[in-house]
Amino acid sequence: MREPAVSVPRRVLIANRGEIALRITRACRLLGLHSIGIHSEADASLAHLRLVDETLCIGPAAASGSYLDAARVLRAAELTNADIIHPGYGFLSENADFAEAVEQSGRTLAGPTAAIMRLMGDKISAKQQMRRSGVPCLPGTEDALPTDLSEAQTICDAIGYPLIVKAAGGGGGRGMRVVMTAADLRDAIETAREEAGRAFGNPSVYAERFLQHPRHIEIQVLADRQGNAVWLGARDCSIQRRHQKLVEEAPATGINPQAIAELGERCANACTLMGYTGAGTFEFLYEDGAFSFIEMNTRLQVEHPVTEMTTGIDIVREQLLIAMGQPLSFTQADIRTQGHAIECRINAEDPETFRPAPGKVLNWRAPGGPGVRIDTHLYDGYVVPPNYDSLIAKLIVHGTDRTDALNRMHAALSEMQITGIATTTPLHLRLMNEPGVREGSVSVHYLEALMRKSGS
Amino acid sequence: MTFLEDLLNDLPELVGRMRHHDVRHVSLKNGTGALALTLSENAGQTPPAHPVAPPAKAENTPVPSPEMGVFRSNGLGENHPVRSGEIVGFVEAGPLRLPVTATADGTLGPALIGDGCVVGYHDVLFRIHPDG
Repeated sequence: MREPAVSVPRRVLIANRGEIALRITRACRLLGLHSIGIHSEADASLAHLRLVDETLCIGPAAASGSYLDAARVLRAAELTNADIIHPGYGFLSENADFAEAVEQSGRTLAGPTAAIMRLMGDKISAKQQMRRSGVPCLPGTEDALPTDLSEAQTICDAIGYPLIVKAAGGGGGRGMRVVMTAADLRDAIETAREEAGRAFGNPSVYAERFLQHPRHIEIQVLADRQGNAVWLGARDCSIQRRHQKLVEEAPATGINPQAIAELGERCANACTLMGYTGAGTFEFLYEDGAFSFIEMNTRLQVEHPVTEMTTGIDIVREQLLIAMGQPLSFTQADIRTQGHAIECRINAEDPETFRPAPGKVLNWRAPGGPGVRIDTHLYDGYVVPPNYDSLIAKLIVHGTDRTDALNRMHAALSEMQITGIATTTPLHLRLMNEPGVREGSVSVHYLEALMRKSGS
Repeated sequence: MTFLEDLLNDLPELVGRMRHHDVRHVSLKNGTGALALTLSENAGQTPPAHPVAPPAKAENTPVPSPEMGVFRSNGLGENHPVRSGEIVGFVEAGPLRLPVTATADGTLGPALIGDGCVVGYHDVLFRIHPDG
């Protein structure tokens, strides 16, 4: 007897814009999927809209009325009969309420379930889950700090100083206070609570040991609906400013590969234990040979290309296949990393003040050559709108080793031409020649210290 | 004083009134005399500071969709005369049925989207041709 035909989801709504929307469109075309590009009124000329099978303007330029408006995105999915919604990164990609609404509408989000997003979105429950899975965490509170400040003081004194008070529901540096001595604790807790309540609607804060010169190391994972999970190597994203990454690389240099492999295994196991599906990233601080879990990003990362370049695995394609219900086509034993990859985020910003610099791109000339990849939605005459994130291109290079990759990146940056607007390219060019960067293993404070030293 | 002398005395005022009312020719006659006055086309006018653009060709006015949704025709055909604010169709946006209203007086062009089709936010649904 023949089994009844099961319709395979094939219509993908791309709920994002810019370079990542183009990246997802390419993966859809590779898989022969029907792609639907939604956009705001300000974004009608985005590059991916000429490649998708359908387009739909969902609202005004303001993200709150378009890309961040869950009801509008869902209505667009209904109107276009989308089966899968790929949220990209940012916007609604880690919004558990949106994920739940997608599930209730009978559609599939290219990502984990709403329940997992909630579990990982709350930093306290995420840390508890990590401890259960054997993923290393910083010494700190098991639960939210009590509202009684004397009780909180006792708990924090036991952790030791310096420590950091963080918002349970937050990220991006908001609701976060470093406490150097016991005398500063009460003010820090009260300020962090107030800020967390305003920013995230959740005033809960927790405390953990503050590392003074950590590196930011992260593990990329992929997990299917059949319970298989793999890790795809580590990335070093320590070159950042105000918690915004600027340069990322893979693999993480100067760390024992065996230690990374053990960490990767623990992350993959954590995925299996919690029933994680899709692509995800475990973020860690690394200091004095020890990894400490910070948070899990339950979505595609901006910096995923460096992992793609070193493993040869198309992460966005895999995300879509997982959302279509297919098992991973490879096992951990099949994954090999090769060479070294670096990504520079090219932002439409003043390279010294980091002020956004929207405007019209007069000339765009992409660099090329062996090992050079550029993920961008730029074209001659494109107008960078002031309404959104300033990321306009990701320049990625792959070399035989780190020195080769740094040299290739410098050459590619020199070749790349963007006129009409200010970009961070001059800063990246400078960084590729900085002794600290050439040597590797810089801490998360490196870039800000460098900028201070040069008076920016 | 003769009629002609009176006219010549009043000539500055007469010319002013002619220009004000855009009159270029006057002929006056009585039993003692006659006067024919013709003003040159641009005489006395201050040249414009900037070249004056030719009168704008009347353009079609777009009628945008008020929302993302499904377009529903209300049966108005092409060349139907409409007044600004008049309902020319509807867009179903979830549970709401929003009117599509004419944005100018004129004649309705053909619907640019079929009845029952999906429309985006502010997509142009019609164009209105100005009368005359």
